[in-house]
Amino acid sequence: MKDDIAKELLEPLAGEYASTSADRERIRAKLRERLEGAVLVGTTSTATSWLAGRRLLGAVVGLAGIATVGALGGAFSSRASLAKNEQNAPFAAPAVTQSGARPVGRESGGEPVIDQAPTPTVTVDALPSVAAEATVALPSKRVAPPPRAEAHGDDDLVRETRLMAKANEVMRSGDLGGALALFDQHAGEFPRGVLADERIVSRVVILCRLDRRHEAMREGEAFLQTHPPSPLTRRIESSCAGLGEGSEGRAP
Amino acid sequence: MPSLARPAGPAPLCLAEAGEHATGAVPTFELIYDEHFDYVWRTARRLGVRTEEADDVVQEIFIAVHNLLPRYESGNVRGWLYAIAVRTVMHHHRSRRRFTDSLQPSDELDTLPDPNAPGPESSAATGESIRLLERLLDRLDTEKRAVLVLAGIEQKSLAEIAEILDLNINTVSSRLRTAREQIQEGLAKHRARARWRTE
Repeated sequence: MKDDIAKELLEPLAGEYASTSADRERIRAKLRERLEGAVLVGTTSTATSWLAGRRLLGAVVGLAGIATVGALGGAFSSRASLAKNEQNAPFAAPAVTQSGARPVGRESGGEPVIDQAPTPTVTVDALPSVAAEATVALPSKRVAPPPRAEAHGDDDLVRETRLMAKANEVMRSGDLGGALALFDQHAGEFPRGVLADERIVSRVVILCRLDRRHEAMREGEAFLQTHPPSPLTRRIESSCAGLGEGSEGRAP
Repeated sequence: MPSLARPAGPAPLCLAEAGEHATGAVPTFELIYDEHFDYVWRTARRLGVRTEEADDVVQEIFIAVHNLLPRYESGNVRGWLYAIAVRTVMHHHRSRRRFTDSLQPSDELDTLPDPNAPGPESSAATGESIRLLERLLDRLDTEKRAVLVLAGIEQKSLAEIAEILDLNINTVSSRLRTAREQIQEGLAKHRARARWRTE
């Protein structure tokens, strides 16, 4: 049964708030930037190869090999990015019915939950099918020795993302101490790396889980004071290091 | 926009195949964005997201859509999007703690003219009427506002709202009734004050 009273009350708003094409394109560009940025986390060099391939495609016409690498890399990195993004999702999935997923509780008011849901994730190493495909197109990538840190900027990025991917994987496996050590290694090698913010937030979450609350709060507070609101700050706010009332006793 | 491969299950459909009406089909992220951007934008605004905040919130909604798409099950795409939008907006409001310091009752509403007042400035009156309504809606919490918007603008039934928001139908009914009463009460008070001023 429709509610005519509600309809009448909200009638003035019925035609309001239309978006513009500029809105659409502006947000499309921002999303593209964010999603491609997320791809870097939890992936290997294939991700950067994919991004580089996309850039090259605009300038170099007819290099089918590069296009193939780009396409394979895109599929590879998109899968891996899902794991990263699910980890950062501000809330659990609505109306999830797939087995193994955490249902949204009725009457919960959709309370956002971070770092609590056992959401299925995809790790880099859990992508054998794409890796197998990539083997054909990227034999040199798979047998090449690890690049030297100072050799090239892209190599640094690859090393950094590999280290972060490994740390995230160890964290997901439950080895929090091991993950913390890897994040510390990242801090030592890439103190101002492109994934420094992600590292800090992950550290705070791990410290909460290790019940090292004071350290978590200290690092979380420093981060919140120096960073504008973002999904990363919200992860901290939702952890034991969250500031303000109600954070006491809250699980990370 | 990066293409979004699903980690398991059937591959994403091509644009020509994907859509709400394709049975068992999972639309691609690109298709959802293209087809439903305006709906998501309007929904966020109707749920109280201000103009200057809309970019960030709509981005967050689509990031969530991107993340949750692998678990999307065919059905009502808009309902699914609405549920995501509501939760994102609720999270946004909480993080800004906006509702705790929202408008003080009466003061700002008093500055608005009677939305029913006739006159040559009808378009201005319409604008004021919208502003008044927005301010009354801002006084509702997001849960009630979400129900009212679904019932009043999208003309969803109680059962449909319950399904979209994953609520008990009695809860939906209760929230809708409360929301309606609060809006009606606010309008009545405003009109009474407007009459008192002109007498």
